[in-house]
Amino acid sequence: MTTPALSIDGLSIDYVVGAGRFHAVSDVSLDVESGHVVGIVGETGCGKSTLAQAIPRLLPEPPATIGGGRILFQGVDLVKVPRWKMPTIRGTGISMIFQEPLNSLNPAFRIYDQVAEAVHVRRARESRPGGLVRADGAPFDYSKLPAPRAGDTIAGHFIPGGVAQDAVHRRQVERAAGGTPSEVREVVLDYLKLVRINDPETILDLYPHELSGGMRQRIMIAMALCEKPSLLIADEPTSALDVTIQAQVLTLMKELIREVNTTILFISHDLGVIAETADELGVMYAGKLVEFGPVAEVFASPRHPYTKALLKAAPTRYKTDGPLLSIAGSVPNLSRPPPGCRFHPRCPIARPQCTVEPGPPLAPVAGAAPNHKSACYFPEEVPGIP
Amino acid sequence: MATSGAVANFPPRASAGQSARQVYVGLRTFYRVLKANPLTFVGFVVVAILCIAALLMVVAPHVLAPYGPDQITTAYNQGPSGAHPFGTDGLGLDIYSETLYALPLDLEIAFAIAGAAMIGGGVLGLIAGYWDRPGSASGALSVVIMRITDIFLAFPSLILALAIAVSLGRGVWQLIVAILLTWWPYYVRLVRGETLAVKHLPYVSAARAAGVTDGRIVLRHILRNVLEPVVVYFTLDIGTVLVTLSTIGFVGLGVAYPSTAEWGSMISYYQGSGLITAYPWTVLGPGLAIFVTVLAFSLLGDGLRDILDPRSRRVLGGTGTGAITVATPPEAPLPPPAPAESEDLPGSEAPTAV
Repeated sequence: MTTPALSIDGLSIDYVVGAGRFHAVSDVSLDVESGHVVGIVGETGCGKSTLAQAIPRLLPEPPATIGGGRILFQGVDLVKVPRWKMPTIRGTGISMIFQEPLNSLNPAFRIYDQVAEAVHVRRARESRPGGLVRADGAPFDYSKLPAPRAGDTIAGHFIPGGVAQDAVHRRQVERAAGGTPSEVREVVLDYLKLVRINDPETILDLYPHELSGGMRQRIMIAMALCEKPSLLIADEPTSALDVTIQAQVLTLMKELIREVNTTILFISHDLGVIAETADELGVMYAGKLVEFGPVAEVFASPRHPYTKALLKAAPTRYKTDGPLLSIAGSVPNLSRPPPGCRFHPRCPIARPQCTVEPGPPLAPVAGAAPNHKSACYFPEEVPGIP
Repeated sequence: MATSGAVANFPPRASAGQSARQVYVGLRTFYRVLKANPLTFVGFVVVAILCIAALLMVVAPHVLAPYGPDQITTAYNQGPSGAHPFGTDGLGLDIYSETLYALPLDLEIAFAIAGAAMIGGGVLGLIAGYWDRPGSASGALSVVIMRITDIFLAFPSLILALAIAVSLGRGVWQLIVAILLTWWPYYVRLVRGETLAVKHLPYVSAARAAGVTDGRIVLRHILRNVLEPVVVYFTLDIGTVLVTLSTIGFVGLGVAYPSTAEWGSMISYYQGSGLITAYPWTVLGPGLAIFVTVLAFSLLGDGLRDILDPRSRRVLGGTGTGAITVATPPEAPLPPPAPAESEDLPGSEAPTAV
């Protein structure tokens, strides 16, 4: 039994606005296994981006406040880590790709300067006395790395959940003491090639406004990858791009997920994206995780009425007749969520029991895969909903 | 192996050839921006002439000024002529020479005040803007900085400067201190506002997510993007400082003329002794000098934004590395590097929603 790369336990996040409290995330528990890709889906405003940004503690606090719970990463509870220590965990520990590629690069600096900054963050940490600390707490022994072979690439040498052990990387570390700009340039070029940027030599000297949205998102991905994070959080990396560019970036992401073999938390509202990339899938509704399980099983036989309704409402290219299905009712106001199960006002199988606080806990479903959990009192009835 | 060499090596220094080219491209861009804005061009040329003249007046005053400082000529109260372009006064001083002798001092005072206000106010503004989380120690510091700033802003700056100038007495340093004490709060306000706007932009979040420390984010990402409006404001401010400086001199609280030449004090001296009605040309020299200098800096400031913004810079500069040089379609994927396993990638078609 391995320890998960990330373990969220009973996490609650509120936004305090004036006298009101907006319960954006309520009592979410989630394990992300090392080397797995975990997808989180849910409609707009269900708290998935809040959850994603809370993990590396990037939420503005205030107005956000972590009401309770733990975020365990490499044996450390990130909720309790002092604010000034967080930068040492971000980047090399947890890195993030944002949903706004158009504004995520500093307009005043050339691409090279920005990617090189990420490379330097990594190097500076490695060249500290004691170097980087592995996920299991042991110091990292660079002498035990395999010798470089011809054709070695950066990708393919990631160790899930730990620190990358690749030949190119070792050379980087050896040079770290006296690395010259041209070597940094080589590393930056390697990563731009990794994200399939054509003519990287030219791109290096351009400013962000001279690149398209898709190219900028690739640069962001390169920046996140060159720090070799133990956990990569992708917060809707494609939602700001148009459809054809989305497809290209997603294809790239899918290839990179296989190549770098790292742990990824993939936030999206696009079920198709999750279906193709993720190993496990979590479904969020109104700030709660309502279902979690292996992606194939959740798609094939959802055990929460909301998941079932969400899957039915998703458009397919084969359905050409009639309007798209929608879920009756509307999303609850999260400053005064309905008592009990938050989905009960819209649920076809709701009973009086569902309105009693606290709502149904996220519990394993009988007769399903062992890690398939549903926050419904009647998961066995869900397959029967028309 | 474990040294801090990698840290000291940042940012990566360009090679000699690269930097020479960068300087060339920078100068060419600067020239093109100036050419595109004729008024900025005029401002730049006049500012350049004024600065060179000021330098000459310090190094070799006789190149420009026909008479020495405080040199009494035999001509008294003469109107403008070939020998005395701005005329002479009752003491026989050549006003043209005196105006030139005041040039370095006036520019020095204006730059010193605006520069010190920009640096001091800018640092305070960055601190107050970036570390403003309520409830923390740094948030309390931010509140203290802003309240003190507000107290200073509550007084009309000219009146406050006059009051301080009165209490300190006459002299160059007293004048600088008096104006500076009223000048820095505007920069705190400006920089804090810009910092607040910039720090919530996605690229600052992205830098934080990449593990960049707060100090670096402020010094690198925020400062660089705040700099643009601040430098423009600074340039325009040189003119404003000069006017304030002259006003204080005009009411007789600045530098003591004729022992030290300063434009505002010169005007004050000539009109104060009632000579302005009989010999109006006496105020022409210093008045014209103030007018030209303030106008030149204002014109230059307006065009500086274009020079500092990478977007307009590229358009106007048209460097050889522009995006147009990407001849091949940039989205064409390269072959994946050394695939570890050669299984088919699932779903190679464009993904769509289920």
